[in-house]
Amino acid sequence: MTVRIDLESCNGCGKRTEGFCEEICPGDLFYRTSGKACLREPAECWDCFACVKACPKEALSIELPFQISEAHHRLSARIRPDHIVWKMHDSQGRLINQCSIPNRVMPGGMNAPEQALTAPNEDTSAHPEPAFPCAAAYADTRLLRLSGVYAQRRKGLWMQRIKIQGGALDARGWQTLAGLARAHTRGTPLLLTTRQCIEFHNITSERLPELQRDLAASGFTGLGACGDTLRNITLCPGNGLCPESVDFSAAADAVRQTLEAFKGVYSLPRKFKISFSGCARGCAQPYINDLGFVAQVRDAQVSVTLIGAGSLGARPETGIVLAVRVRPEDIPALALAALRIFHTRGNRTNRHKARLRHVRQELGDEAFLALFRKEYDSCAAQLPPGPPLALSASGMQRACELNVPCGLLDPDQADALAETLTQSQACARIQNHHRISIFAADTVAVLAAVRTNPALKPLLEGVDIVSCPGTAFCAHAIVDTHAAEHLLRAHLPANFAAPIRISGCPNGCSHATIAPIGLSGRLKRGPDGKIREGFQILTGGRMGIEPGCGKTASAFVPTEDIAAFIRTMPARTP
Amino acid sequence: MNPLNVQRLSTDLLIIGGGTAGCMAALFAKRAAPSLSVTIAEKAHIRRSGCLAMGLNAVNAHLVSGTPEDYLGYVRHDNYDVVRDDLVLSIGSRLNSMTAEIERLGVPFPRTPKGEFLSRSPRSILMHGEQLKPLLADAVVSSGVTALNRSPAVRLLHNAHGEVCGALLYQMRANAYSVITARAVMICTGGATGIYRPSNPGLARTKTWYCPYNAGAGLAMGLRSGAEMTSFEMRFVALRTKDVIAPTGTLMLGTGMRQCNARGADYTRQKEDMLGRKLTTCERLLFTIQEHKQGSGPCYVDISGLDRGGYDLLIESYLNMAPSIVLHLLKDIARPLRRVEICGSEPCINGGHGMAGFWIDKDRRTTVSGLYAAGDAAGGAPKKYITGCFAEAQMAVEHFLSCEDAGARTAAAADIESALQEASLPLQVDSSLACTDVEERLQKIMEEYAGGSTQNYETSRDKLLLARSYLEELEQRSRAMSAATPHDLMRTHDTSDRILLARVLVEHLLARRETRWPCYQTRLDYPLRNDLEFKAFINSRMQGGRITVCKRGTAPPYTNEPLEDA
Repeated sequence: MTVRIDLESCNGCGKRTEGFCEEICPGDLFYRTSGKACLREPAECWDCFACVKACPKEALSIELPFQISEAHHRLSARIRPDHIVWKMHDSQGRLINQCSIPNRVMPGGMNAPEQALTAPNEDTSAHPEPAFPCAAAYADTRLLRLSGVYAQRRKGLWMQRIKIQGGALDARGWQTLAGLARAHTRGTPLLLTTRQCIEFHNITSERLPELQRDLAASGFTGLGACGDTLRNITLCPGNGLCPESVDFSAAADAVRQTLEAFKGVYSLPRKFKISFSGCARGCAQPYINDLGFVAQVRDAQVSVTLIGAGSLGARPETGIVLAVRVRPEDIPALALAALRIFHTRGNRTNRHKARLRHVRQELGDEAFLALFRKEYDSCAAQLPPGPPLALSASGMQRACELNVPCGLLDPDQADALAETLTQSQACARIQNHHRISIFAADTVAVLAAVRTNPALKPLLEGVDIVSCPGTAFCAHAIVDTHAAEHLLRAHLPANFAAPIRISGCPNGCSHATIAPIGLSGRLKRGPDGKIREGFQILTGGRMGIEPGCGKTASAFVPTEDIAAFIRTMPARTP
Repeated sequence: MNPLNVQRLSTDLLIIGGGTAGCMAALFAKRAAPSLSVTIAEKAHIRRSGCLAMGLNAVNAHLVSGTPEDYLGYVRHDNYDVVRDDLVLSIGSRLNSMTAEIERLGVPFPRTPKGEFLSRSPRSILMHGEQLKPLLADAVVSSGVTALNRSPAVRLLHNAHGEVCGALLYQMRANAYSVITARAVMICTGGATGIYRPSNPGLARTKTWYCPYNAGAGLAMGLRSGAEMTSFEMRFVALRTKDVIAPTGTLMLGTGMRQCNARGADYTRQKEDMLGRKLTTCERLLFTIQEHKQGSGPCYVDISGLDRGGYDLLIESYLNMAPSIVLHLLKDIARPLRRVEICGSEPCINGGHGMAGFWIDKDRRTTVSGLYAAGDAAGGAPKKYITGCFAEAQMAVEHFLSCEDAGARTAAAADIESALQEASLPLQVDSSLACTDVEERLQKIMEEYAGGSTQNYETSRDKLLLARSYLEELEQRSRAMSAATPHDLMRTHDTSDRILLARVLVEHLLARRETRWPCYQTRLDYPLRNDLEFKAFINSRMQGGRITVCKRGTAPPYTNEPLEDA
């Protein structure tokens, strides 16, 4: 049918007597002219993809003739040592679908890519031993979850989440993770979470221990990424980088170390979430965390407020102010005090009422605050003072944001990002809504570098949508959220301003309940008796420093109709 | 261009066609006798040639349960009792060991937690076979086989006794002919497509079911050397997804999804209930066409019952075998296609799904001395698929190795001379007749008079007689085809081969005065099955440029005795 030749990528295979496509085509349809591949007769092509798979430059792809499909998507492939990665792009060159399939059994297991083997062995002493459970722990769901592992929807496949404190990952880190994804998950895209973590998907039982071993060797940990424990500590993406903000990174380290030393930290009643926001904008969502530290800078004077005992979930509840004018040295003691209250008082019989905010609700706000103050006094006496805070002085500014559809970042994109970071001496931070912020001193140069990178350029635009993994990966989900996101991205105008959050079940992992436009997965039996996937649509939620729940705009809209429904809604700016 | 500097080569075993059967035959031969010189003459490149070029997502002839006799029973039932029991049974007993060979190559098979293959029917198991052909080619090359890529064989060569002793190859990249002599020649060139008009016009015209670069060169060479062919009239027509011509088995087997008509009725189940038995492969197609004729078309495979996980698995399976349908299924990425329209493909000559091909004995010897045939080029044993092709390759090699080594035979000079002259004819004529024009004419004749897809695969005596006379004219005219480039020369050879096969096919269709395999072979003037006269094979061969046709009984013993005209 139609092979599409990207003449920019094609290098004519240099000095080879025959180009790879020329050599392999079963129809002998290729020849070279002026150093580029050329198709003798497009209509003679069988669509066998032999040339597409053989091209080392990924310059070839296949599209259906217009008579069969006017969509003009194209399909390309890349052969890896033991698998093939298929990619589908739309007519604008955006990656819209991807999957990888094993295609060779390698003798003695797969060859790990070089960067995984040569990744520097960083100081691993900060990670408690054992960093990961051994393979024998597969039967113990609790242990698995504590190490960041969840069973995927598809039987026999696992998800590994790793903690990235504050979402700060350097070029080498991105490269390592891309390499590990290729080596152990056949290049399945990395999933960015809303707590700045990264997830690997599609890991087989045999591969999981090897992935965990390689992660530990590169200084990454999944311990505490899932399960009833202290979760990844989030920092606002600009922390220590944005001008006029407070650098909380040392404080976050101190809190983590203090709390991880608490002996009940891996047997909490439920998860425990802490965030730090470096300025009054509160980009790290303090009101929906168990503890949220927010700094305010006025005339070079720093004052920190502690907000806490809030959480989202099916019935969201925002936190209350626990302390004002917090001294920097008190931060670890305050965090430990809250954790200790949670450990002793938290509800261990009903998981739906087991968060810190339920303790607060049960005691009443005043009694809770009194208990918190008392506990703080005893903690402060035991602990050394925390590190001082500093104003950020990086000289950097936010250059751009990468909008990652479905939070799925392809290993190739991760590599491209690493390359850009190295070249332009920039910093990348994973945000809490499927975006990556890039900071640099020379913002113009970074933006230019991203714009000219074919892997990253498509990420510069797009509507603000976050969807949870949905039925693509998650065992709890009831609807396909990625399909909904693709549908909205395709059918909403590019200037659609209101952020959209899509959750695949009522748990609301993507914060649908507090979104200006929230979609929460529902199933409904239609008149024909067939069950249809759709969403409850919420509107009017607030996601900023003071969140608020949205109201139901429609109890059920089938997936195929959501774009039409949302287009008619007034687009409020957040 | 003047390819007259003829190179001379010699080998022990010459395999023509480096596809499924050819590569495996070479590998078996080299494995059993490392000192043997084995040469593959391949038209394209063995890494991605033949039917496996796209990959394969399942092994469709693997006995998950049941015996080789059960397999024979299934094949007989599916083909209305006209099959070569001896060939089918010999294949059946080797199927599972051939699956093991595929695994040995390094192809991943998904398995159950107990370690069993994932099966989608009693005879079909799933496989991640995207790299199957490259893996096979790597094994062939590393075993020491000489693979001559871009070297299509154009004529068989004979010694003074008329035995096959080699072939004339056209080496495309060097733009030269070479003569290669051998102790024996094995035809593994597969079947032939491009004889009937393809399903789509224009840019999509090569979206055929069968590999469009299979022009049946081996069959045509065999005919020219006087070999006996069987069952060309049993054309194979695949039930496929409309437009992109991808397999429907992937949609239905293993997913539990069913065929339905435009009103949502599962017409195949209705027919099964009515008949009280499973439908045969050709009945699935027949009843689909009947729904169209009754105004209940188009027909679909309804996959709305698949959940996201099932759909993802479906996409994976297709990417392993027919990737471009994914562009069709996910045309609207947010609303994956839930009803996939189905239709019949273009008819083709094929011995792997159907049973058109060389008439062979149990050792895969053809009726011409020194010539073996295996895989899709060998007839009489339908539904052999990839494992059956491998099994045939193994049996042919076993017989070859059991024969005494008499050294490579010498080709008669006169034979080389006449072969060269015929093969280089398109270089010598000076005309504007292009092979594509001739092919269009061929496809028009066959489509309209010999039961193409737009004719619902039906034909009758008078149409076939017209086809016969048009084809004879076309063959005369086609001698004026000219070629300017090596690619053109290869295509003119393809076109001449296709015309010859079409002529033989029409004779076969004329000879079977009944309707045995509806759609594969439908005679409107003889609409019923006639077991009394035609529970038999129709065979043919060329004698002095004339095609003669005869009947062979279905009961053993089968002999390779010369035929008398029926």
